[in-house]
Amino acid sequence: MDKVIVENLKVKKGNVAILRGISLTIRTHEILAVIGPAGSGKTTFLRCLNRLIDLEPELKPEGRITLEGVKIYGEGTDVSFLRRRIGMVFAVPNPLPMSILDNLTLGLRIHGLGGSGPITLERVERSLKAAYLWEEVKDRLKESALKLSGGQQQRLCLARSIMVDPELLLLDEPCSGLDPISTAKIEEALQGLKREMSIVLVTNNVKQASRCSDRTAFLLMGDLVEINNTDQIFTNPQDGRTSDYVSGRFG
Amino acid sequence: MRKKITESVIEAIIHISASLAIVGLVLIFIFIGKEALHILTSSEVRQEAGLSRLFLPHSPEPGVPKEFAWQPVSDIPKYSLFPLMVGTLKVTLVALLFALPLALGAAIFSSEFAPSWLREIIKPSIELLAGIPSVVLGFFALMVMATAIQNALGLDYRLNAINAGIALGLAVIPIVFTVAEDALTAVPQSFREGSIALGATSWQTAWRVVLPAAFPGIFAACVLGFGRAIGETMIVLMSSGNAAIMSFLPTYPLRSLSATIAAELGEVVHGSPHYHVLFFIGTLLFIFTFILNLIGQLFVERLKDRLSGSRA
Repeated sequence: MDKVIVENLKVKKGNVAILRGISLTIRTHEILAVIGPAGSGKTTFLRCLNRLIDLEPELKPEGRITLEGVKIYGEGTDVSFLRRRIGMVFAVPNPLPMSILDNLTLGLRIHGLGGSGPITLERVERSLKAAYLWEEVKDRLKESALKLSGGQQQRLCLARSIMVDPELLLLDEPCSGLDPISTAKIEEALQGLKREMSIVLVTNNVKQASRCSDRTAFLLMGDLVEINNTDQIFTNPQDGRTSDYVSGRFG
Repeated sequence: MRKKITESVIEAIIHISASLAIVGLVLIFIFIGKEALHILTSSEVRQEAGLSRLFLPHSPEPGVPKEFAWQPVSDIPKYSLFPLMVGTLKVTLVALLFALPLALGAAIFSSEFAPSWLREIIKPSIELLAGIPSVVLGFFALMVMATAIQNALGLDYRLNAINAGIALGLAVIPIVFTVAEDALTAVPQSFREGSIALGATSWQTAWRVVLPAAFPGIFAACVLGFGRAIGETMIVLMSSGNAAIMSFLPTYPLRSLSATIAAELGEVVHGSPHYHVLFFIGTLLFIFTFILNLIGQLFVERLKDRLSGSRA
């Protein structure tokens, strides 16, 4: 089952091409890892999927992306609803300067889905448990989210993004600033979450891609070099550049 | 070695200039305070203009009802500060009611909604307002604005608190705008992205995320604007009618504390009770603006703490 179909996605900044025609699909209930050296367009690709790229008016995406058959860049797309269906976790944890609970319920309040009451609290507990954070914060939900450690903050951001039940979750190098234990917790959380949604994991860490993804896409200088099952990419890559990168010969 | 000597000389010069500024401030306060202190210490001054005369209603002659009146050069001098304080608060209130919504609205628009090219026009233009000498603003209010406002609202008095307040507001806007805009732009972009990625619109992001995060800075902007409005002299002096009338109505002329000093200190008899009362007014203003600035600074510090997370 294909969740998202990307066809010939191009992004230019002035005359410089950042993405040069990417075509791939994201399947339901899979973790798709996107790897590639810095500057290969991984983050730009991710930000096209939930139209966060709209925040940078100098970047103009071309091509076609559909989420369950509906064009993401179509006329009259409800961007707010689109972003409710497509959650995102950023490279640098960005909890907001409010309580842990308010951080979690922000999405509900934005979309007019309530924000208090027993149903919401149940949801909060479920999300925090899915993000492996419940035990650490269950007694301090009213405290400021900024008091949490970096790893806890990132798991809070993960919990926050799944509060509104997205179908697709985008993660932009979510573990780049975290210690190994926090990283392991997030990777574990992702394995549980993929039962409910599709996940795109952009990562600088090739080992992380091999550990926890089902399929892997390798981007290089804005080109999609190869996409295949993760086993294949790491044991039997079809392209010489892929094998050089995953074996650590460059990048 | 030689470099070391120049370094220490430079360091000393910077040190001295910094200390001189503080010493100057303290000396000014001591000078003003010393002259004002006669209100409490000199029996001659106290008899005519003691604290009770300044702040409580007083009847000038037996049989005349008690009143608040500022008539320092009449046969029986009257020194009630009440009309002046009411006048100051009245004009300040009008100024803030006019300036705060405009300045904060402009700050939110500039930091959250305007494209960058527009922002680069808006910000310097509004900040340029701060460079207009207040005597020019006062002149404009006196000659142009007053007539327009009187005709538009059908008022009895050409010069009144509405006219003076709006003119004063023009001087307050750039300060409030600059501080508030800086507070809003200091909110990290990652906060906005986090909110927008959850599906929030720009409005929801501004209202639910950016404004609460920047609240201490915005509050500081308002406090600084208030301080500026209370201390501003020339605009009020020129555009308020400068009559010490005891009235809470904004359609009446008024006289402010600062304008009183400016208008009367030049002609007052040196060492007279009137002279010391004027200095007392100066001390009041000094303490008032000092406290307001302190509060403003404190809230700016809180903003920094809140955004960096060290104390939220």
